[in-house]
Amino acid sequence: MISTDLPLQGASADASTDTNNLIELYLDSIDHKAGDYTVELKKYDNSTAAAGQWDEATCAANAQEHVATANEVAVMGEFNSGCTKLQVPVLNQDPDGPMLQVSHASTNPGLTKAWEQGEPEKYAPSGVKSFARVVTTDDYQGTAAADFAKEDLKVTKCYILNDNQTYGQGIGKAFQAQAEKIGIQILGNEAYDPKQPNYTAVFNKIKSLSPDCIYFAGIYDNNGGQLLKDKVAVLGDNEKVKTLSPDGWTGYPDLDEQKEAEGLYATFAGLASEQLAEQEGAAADLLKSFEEKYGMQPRTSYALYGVAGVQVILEAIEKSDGTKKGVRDAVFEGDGITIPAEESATGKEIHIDPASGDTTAKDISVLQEQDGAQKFLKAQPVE
Amino acid sequence: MTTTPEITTPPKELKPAKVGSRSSIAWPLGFLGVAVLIFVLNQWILPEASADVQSGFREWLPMSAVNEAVLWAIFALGLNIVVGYSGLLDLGYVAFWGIGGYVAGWLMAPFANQVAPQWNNLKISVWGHPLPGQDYGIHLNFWLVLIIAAVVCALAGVVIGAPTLRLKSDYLALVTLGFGEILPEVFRNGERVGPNGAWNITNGTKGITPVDQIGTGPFQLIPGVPDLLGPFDLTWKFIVYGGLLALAMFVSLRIREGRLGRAWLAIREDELAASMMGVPLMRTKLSAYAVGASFGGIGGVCYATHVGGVLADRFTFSVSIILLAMVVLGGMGNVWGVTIGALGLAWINSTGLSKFGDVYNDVTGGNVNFASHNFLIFGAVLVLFMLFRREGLIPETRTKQVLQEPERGEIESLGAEMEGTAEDTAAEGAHK
Amino acid sequence: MTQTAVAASEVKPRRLPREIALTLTGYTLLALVLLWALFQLITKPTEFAQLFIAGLGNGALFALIALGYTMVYGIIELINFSHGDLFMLATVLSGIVCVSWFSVDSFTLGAVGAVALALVLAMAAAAALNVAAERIAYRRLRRAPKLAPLITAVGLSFAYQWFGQRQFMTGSTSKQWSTMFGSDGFNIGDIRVPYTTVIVIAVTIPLLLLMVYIVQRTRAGKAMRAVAQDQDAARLMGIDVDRTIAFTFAMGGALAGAAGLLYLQSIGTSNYNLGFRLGLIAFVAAVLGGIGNLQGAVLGGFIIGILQGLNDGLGLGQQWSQTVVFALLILLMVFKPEGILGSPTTEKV
Repeated sequence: MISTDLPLQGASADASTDTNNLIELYLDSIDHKAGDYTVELKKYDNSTAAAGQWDEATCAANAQEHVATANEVAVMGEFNSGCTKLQVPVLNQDPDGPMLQVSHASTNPGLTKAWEQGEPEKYAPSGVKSFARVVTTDDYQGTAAADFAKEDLKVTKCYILNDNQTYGQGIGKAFQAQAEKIGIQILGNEAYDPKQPNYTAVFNKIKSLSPDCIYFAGIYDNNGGQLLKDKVAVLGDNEKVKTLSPDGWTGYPDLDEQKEAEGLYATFAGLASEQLAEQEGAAADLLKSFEEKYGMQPRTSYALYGVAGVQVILEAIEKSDGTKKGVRDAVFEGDGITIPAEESATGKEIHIDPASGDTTAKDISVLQEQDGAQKFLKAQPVE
Repeated sequence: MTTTPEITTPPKELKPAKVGSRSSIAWPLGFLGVAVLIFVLNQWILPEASADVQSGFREWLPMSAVNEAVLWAIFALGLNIVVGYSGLLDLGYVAFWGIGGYVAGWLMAPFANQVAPQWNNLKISVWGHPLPGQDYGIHLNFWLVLIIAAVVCALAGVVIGAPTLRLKSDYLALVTLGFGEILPEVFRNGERVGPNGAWNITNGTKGITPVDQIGTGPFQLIPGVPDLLGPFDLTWKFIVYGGLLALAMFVSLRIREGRLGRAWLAIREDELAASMMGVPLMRTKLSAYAVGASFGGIGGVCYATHVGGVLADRFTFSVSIILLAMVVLGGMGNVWGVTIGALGLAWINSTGLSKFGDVYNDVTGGNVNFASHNFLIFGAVLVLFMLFRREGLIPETRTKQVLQEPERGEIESLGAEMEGTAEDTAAEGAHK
Repeated sequence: MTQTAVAASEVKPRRLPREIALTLTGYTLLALVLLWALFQLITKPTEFAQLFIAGLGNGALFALIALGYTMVYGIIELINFSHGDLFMLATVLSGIVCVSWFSVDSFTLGAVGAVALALVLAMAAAAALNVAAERIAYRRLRRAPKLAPLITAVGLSFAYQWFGQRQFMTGSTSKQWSTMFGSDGFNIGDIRVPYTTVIVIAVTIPLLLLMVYIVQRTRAGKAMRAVAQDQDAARLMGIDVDRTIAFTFAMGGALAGAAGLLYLQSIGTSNYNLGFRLGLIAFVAAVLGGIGNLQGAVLGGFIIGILQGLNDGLGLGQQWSQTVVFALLILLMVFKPEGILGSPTTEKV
């Protein structure tokens, strides 16, 4: 048995539900088989109604439950790096493990590599790693976006707005570091408050600094629609003042529908949905059957990453002896796990580096919002 | 606890309603029994039980949820002192939880190294128990940190309480609400403060992980007791948290019977009369804030060790509201009621709702996504409780009398309210 | 007020210098803030004006929500926590009417009609819901201590949020709606004024005047003031207390409805937890102006809006905006608890 651990209540509920549904569909499509093992999915909820979002205590409790459930071998999740930071050390100390966790959205660099003091060692108290992820870390995306802004957009002055969360801050920090290195002037890196009704005042201040690019470091869910609207209203459209964003701004039908989004650049690790749909492959079939069953596209691009995470786990189960330790070892010992591009839910080869737990697929696509869809623009190499 | 006001004339006529001697023994014994039962069950019986029984228990009464509920109960008891005993509405109690948590984050985690660049090589340990490889920073012993957090929170309580003393209840609620909104924002934004943003006092939304484990000190000599309470020693942590809850209950009960507690009750019932009887209003109110807040500090430290970290996102207004709901639903002013209310509500929030959902789906074969309806269920529970049992589960004898007053008809209320009206008029006159 | 008065007189002889110091500190702080604003105005006039306009637009919205808050508080002293969520529901409802039914996305005659219809529907629905809540819940709790209706309001707030979270409403993420004017506006010199700001203010002020008229001049208003002062005396005078309170709730609800539509047309984003934060801010606005005082609520709303705008643009930045608002609240509570326009003897409502 494997499990997902996602916030099913509050602001991320829709995204998490769709991720779960897509994973269910995927498991159905492979008859719940991973090699000789039959795989069942158990869904954990790491949010509470009272908090309206993920909740530390629930994360900690879920971690206990993952460990205590005897036949549960791996966890796919979580959506929030904060929650992952609490769970990984616990799963890592599983007496039968360490227990494997693969995340589709926890992109904070510190979880797998040296970032802040004590990271990543503090997430592996047992001495060996047990956390892997199928998304690239914040620093790569920020770096790629800065390179793209410099080389292709030829911008000189950027302003960064982050959503004051772990993901947004990390990605903003990486963008700023790279931009300053390659000669883009950073006019400011400021946190915006996702709970404010609008951002007219913020953009008026930015306007007086006359930047030629804005970087939204955060996720669209954090009132991104309003942010974009006010940006266009005050600073002009995305042609005039370029707007860049990370993958937290991809895969939202709401964003595509917004007329202010026209011209928005977004970086994304993997392929955009419509490319996936054109390209025959596992992801296209999956999206098609999701559309048939639920009458819409998944409301988050992380849904496909979620499937990718499950693919890694299944591959690990197939290669293992079916125990927690075996599944973990399949990922972190030897060559690691590789999902070939034609099977991968993200349309790119996924290879988990056994040394760190990060995916080696670091190349990043740049998408541009054109006529209500995010179109593939170019591949942005990362050194 | 921290301050004992000198009351020249104790309000004799306001002696609290006598708690029957029978129940005053029965309740603690009952709680002790339940606590021992939970411990024995989880420590020795469950591991031997069949897999079905084990998983059933784990689903319905997971030990981590029990521990969490115990911590909520400590917070609720702290709030009960402010709201239930003294009648001061506090809408920002989460601030103390946060302060307690960050005291743990500063004093028993590697984080202190990141606070300022020049603290990079800081390495202090006072009977601390750092995790392997995490021995830099400050590591004080859990029990020391508890005391420090209680003191810090008590001071914070006084600071928050001080400007509110001249205010009447609703305004007081607002000021506490204000602090409850400001402090979490400080926690969230505290990553770059001070000159040139050189100081990192809270690590922002990334939070502080990991927090040290609890050392058992001399108790590890007892066979079977681990020397450190790691993530899987939940039953031993239960003893620690449960013991602190018992302490909180004991303090609450004792203080209530004492001079300070009687002064609080007097203020709650009638501030005017209390001050006339010689209760020093300011000091008594402040001490309520201080004592209530110190519970929050203790709970905050425990909570940090419970989840293994401190994260700023936790400290939202809704936490204050849930705590208030616990106090009110359990029975304001009644220690047992508040404890049970807190345990119950915390369990419902963490485990109950989703489990009931599963059962419902199993029984009816439906596929209702219960998680998405939790707001409704939670809201309905609050409203229905207020409509049909507003005095709470186990009402305090005193509040019960006030609250159970029947609805008055027009004519009835005329007579009954004459008193109040006369008093108002008199007071207004006095003001002019 | 009784306790305050007594407490103050009790300590008066001893505390007199301290009281003076307190007042002085208060005025010094106020002067500092004003000086800062003046300095910004002189050094960066365009920017200042622009931020001022932005703050004005938000402030008018806060004011409208605060009006509904203050009416209900004024009459039964209930901090109606569900008011913000009621406003959220009204926002979503008007969004459904304007966009889903009539696809309003530009300024045409038909669009104006649709918006007018949405206004009527949102006001009616919010008023009905508020009255129903009063009838079912608050009325039974009128004699209960204050915490009971407060917790009830919290419960209702949760229930409203649940309703707003349904997929046909706004879902669990935020939803964008097209609006009549979008971000169109006109320029005064270098300063851009969005049409919506003008419209929101143009609606808020007359609504305020209407409310003041109702409360001060009409029979119903007289009844409200009487009930607010003393329910039993009012009853003796032959006033139907239940009906008067229900009427107040209806007005509060209607104001939330109007605020919802204006919010939708000027901001165009809805979110199920939108009401929580805005409700808090509106409540602060109401207190700032002197709770129970209609003009005060509007003034408080504008002050908070402008202050937030200035803070976002020239002050500490948006991440501290809650801190600024609530610090203002606490300072006010310390130095002038009755609010800017309120005075201890002001009539409520």
